[in-house]
Amino acid sequence: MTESEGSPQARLYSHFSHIYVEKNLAGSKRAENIINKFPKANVIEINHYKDIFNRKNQSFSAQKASQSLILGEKHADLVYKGAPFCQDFGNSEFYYTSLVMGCVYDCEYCYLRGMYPGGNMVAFLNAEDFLDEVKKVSCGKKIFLCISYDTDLAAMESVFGFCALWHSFAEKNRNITIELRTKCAELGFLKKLRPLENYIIALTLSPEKNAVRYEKKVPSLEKRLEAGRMAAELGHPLRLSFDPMLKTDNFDETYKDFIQKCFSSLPANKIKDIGFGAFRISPSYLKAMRKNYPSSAIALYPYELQDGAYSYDKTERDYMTSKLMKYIEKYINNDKIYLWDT
Amino acid sequence: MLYITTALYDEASPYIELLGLKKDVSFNKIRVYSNENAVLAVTGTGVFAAVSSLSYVLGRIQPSRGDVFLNVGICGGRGVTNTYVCRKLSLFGDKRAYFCPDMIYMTDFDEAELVTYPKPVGEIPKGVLVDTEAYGLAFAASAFFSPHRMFFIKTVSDEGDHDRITHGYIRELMEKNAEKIAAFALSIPHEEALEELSSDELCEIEKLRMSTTQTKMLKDCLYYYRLRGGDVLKLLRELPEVKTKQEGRETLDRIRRIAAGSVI
Repeated sequence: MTESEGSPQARLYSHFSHIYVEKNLAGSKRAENIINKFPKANVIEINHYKDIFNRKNQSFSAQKASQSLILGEKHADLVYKGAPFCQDFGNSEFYYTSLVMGCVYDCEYCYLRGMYPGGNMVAFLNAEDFLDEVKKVSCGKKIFLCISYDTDLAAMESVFGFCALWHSFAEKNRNITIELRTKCAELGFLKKLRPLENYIIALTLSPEKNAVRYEKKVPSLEKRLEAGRMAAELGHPLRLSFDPMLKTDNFDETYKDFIQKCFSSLPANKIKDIGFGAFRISPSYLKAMRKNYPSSAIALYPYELQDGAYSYDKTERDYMTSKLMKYIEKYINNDKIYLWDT
Repeated sequence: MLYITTALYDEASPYIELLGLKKDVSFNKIRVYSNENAVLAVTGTGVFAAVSSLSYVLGRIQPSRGDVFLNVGICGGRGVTNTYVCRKLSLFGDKRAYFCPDMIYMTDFDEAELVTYPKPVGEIPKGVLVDTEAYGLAFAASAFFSPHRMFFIKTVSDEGDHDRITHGYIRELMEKNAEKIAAFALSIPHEEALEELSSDELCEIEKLRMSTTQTKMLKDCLYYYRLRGGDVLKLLRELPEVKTKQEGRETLDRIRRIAAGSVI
């Protein structure tokens, strides 16, 4: 028997066929509720989520092909200061928090490909500790908090219910403006949530061509636009995020058509604001991305290092930015458009 | 390359036969069998023998990123008789010592958890398999292999009644599933790897008198250029001759711009 005589390629387990649960959480109501959503899953008890998530030599790409779920608790570093690569939308007190690490989607440009040691998903079940910590950090001040950066909470709402949890927190803490960033098209859960000024749905959209090529497992642009329209019609503050803006062939035409398509579907007067920025990434994440995905066009592109971030060279970035700005300004006032740049 | 370990020769023999392995006489401390596709080490029994033997082999034949590790053999189990793929391996007496291989590839076998003991046990706890090597092997192998390319497939031979275990019995048990297990291990897909530049391309790069860092940057640009369908060798051969370091820097910048293409 040789390799070539071997059977066809091994079959993969479906996503979340295996759930790792920290021993102290086994049997807890929240863990049981989640596990029950996956009746066929094999459940494995572990001591600590890091024993699985932080192992050496993991393959991000292999794990993304058959993701496991890890249920754990986190007790330190529950809230972070907003990273310089992220948009603050004019908020000086900008924070982010992650009840879930790892995303169900698999976008080629995603910084998670370079940030995490593996592609599995961790959910922290001591959510109330996170809420308490946010309250402590805000200390009654106005803060802006992103809750869905290192994951897509809305895409996992039917499993974790964290979007509703944060919504109820926002309702009681009006000084804290929460941004739920998502590419999910299943936003039906919003119908049960009262629209709040301080609970923003930030919908990430990309030109169809880019979405098809780079956004694996993500709902189509069409479906995302439908979901966005529904959210806006329900009265939820809707932010559009055209981020990252990617260099593509026929850039002008691609982005012009895209913006036109967005605003033929979405009511411009109901858009709270828009954020966009060119692809940028830290050197260490880019290095890991290239290792994990050696034939990814996004990872291999010869970016320029400027102010600690790899991105397109300034001339091109300025060109792309000015074009996109021009297209967006046809529909939205300039004061509602936020641009990320170095 | 497939790396297989067994504790005993009787566990190894069906695999040696199936894969056409030959004794590798360059290893004189333990029995190792190999060919161009696979290496099989008979580690001996006990966790210390397992760790030291495997380290001895992996220190000599360093696995690469896409290689596969497979441990097969017999184990104890209470009230069970089948072959199992292990999803968790732990060390008896140390609650912190455990290893979970990534369960990404499906096998035809049920899953089980296994506890490695320092010596054979008569009273086997319910609900787990027991052996005397697997955790040690996992510990040593995890420094070299990705957790999704490590497999521990064990066949229950006894319930702690070791008297029934004879050479013939072990072989009989191991032969049952050897073909299926070997086929599974060989079916693990190769890892996506970057195709290196050709020797002609590397030869052209050398002429550009770049520093190690510049050469690395240049190669990254060329990989991207190739991904976009560019002819790397043609591009390199059309470059003007580089005589100074300054010219080398300018050439790197030029190639970066060509590789990136322009949006404007």
